[in-house]
Amino acid sequence: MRAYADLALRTQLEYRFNAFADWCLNPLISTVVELAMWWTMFQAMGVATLGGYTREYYLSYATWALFFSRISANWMYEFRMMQEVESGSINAILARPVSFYEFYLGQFLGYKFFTAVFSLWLPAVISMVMGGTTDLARLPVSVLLVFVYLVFTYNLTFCVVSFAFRLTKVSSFTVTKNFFIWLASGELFPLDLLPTSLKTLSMYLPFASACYLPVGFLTHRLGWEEMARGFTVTLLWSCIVGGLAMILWRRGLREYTGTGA
Amino acid sequence: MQANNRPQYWRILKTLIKTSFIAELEFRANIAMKIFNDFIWYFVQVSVFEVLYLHTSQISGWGLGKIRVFLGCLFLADTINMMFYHENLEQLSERIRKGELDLVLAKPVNSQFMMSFFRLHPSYLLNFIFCFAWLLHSLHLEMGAVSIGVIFKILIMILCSNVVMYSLRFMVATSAIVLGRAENLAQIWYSLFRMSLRPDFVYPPWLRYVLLFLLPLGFIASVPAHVVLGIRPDYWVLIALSISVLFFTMASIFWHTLLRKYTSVSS
Repeated sequence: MRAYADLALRTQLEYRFNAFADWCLNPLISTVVELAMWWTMFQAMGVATLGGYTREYYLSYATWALFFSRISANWMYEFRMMQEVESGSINAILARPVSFYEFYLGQFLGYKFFTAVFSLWLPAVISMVMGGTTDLARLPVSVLLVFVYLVFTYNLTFCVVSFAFRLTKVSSFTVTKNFFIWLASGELFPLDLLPTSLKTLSMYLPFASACYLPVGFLTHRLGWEEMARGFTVTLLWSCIVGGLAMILWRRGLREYTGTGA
Repeated sequence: MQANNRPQYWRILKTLIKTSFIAELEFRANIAMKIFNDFIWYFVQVSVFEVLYLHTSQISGWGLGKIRVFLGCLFLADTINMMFYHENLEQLSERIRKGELDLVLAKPVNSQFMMSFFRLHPSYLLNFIFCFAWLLHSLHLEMGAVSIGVIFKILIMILCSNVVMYSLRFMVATSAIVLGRAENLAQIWYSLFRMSLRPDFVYPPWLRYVLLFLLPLGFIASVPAHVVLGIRPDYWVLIALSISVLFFTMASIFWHTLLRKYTSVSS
């Protein structure tokens, strides 16, 4: 697994400008845009609070939401894994004495670890400069929850990729899934703004652990109780989806016929 | 005689549409999902504002009705993007890296045209009809009867918005010629594109000027919505036309400049 994590870092550093764009440029642009948007939106609405929370809360939320959503997003490896099945290049991995699951999980977690380390500077600096409600001492617990979520989202990826054995092209499934996560994770707006019934429902889904829960905990909006529930819900869903992924993958492999020299 | 030897782009485009449609039909579930995805994307965008307007009645004097018109312009512009060039520009960096550009350069057609419109998605016509109906309905609710003049303005503004969107995205994607891999540059494009998903009044004045004249993402949906709603005077149509011609020319010059630096990657 460590070797695969190392491979992920080396692959990323192969094209240095690409890595620079991923770790510095992209976070900087998106953070500036989001902060400017929430700042002006409050002025334009002429209100002091929105959904019961102040502008400072939304600014802290926007800063950290982008950081956590960058760590929790999984489209790049999902597309690569699909491509392996679609093109048949998966044969080369299946012939190795490692599982396809481990091969990509190692790379995925390694890549996310380095992404977290290298892009942390921006929200940390903004929080220190702006002050606000962020408590950096809570950061390790928030990051831990996101890494638990990563296992869940990787299992979900495995389910989607398994469909490629039967349907060949399944990239649109990823897009559908990601749109849903975009909305349900709280990346677009804090889940506090949702009507109560929808918000309650979202707390029983694992997607809130990608963004809303870690950011809420970090910004003192949420406490230990909510975090404990977040860990439990995410682990539970991870097991369910992991089991499903295993069944779908085995079934897909049974139907798959690899060709080529 | 020489004129007959020049490539007839309209005929090429028609052939590309036909072949793309046949290729699309090969994976029918995938097409259905792609169309469905776009509807989900519309739903996500609509829900952002519906949720925000649960807590306020106006933002900078814009009520939910005007926002729906803005969203109509955005969806319409995006549908054309999805139909004609989204996938081509998304894969452009990878195609350059794998040496496919060499094959295109060897053909007697404009390489920019071939790289941009190689694969089309005519199935998005359904989305186009839906988005156009959404826009007309929103306009009808906001302004009453929609005249032919307004429809004409919509069509011109959406055309301009797509030329601007195409030009900006093309310039980002073609950077792969010098950078090798530009996957994350595409992510930068998406970060920038996110700015066009909101009306320009949600940004501070300095950023609004940037979005209008320096990096004219405001012309994708915000300016069209302002013009169609009559908030900005009609001469903004001329400004939109000028901006789109300017950025398209810049994209072409950028492409040809980079091509001069291009060293073939395949054997």
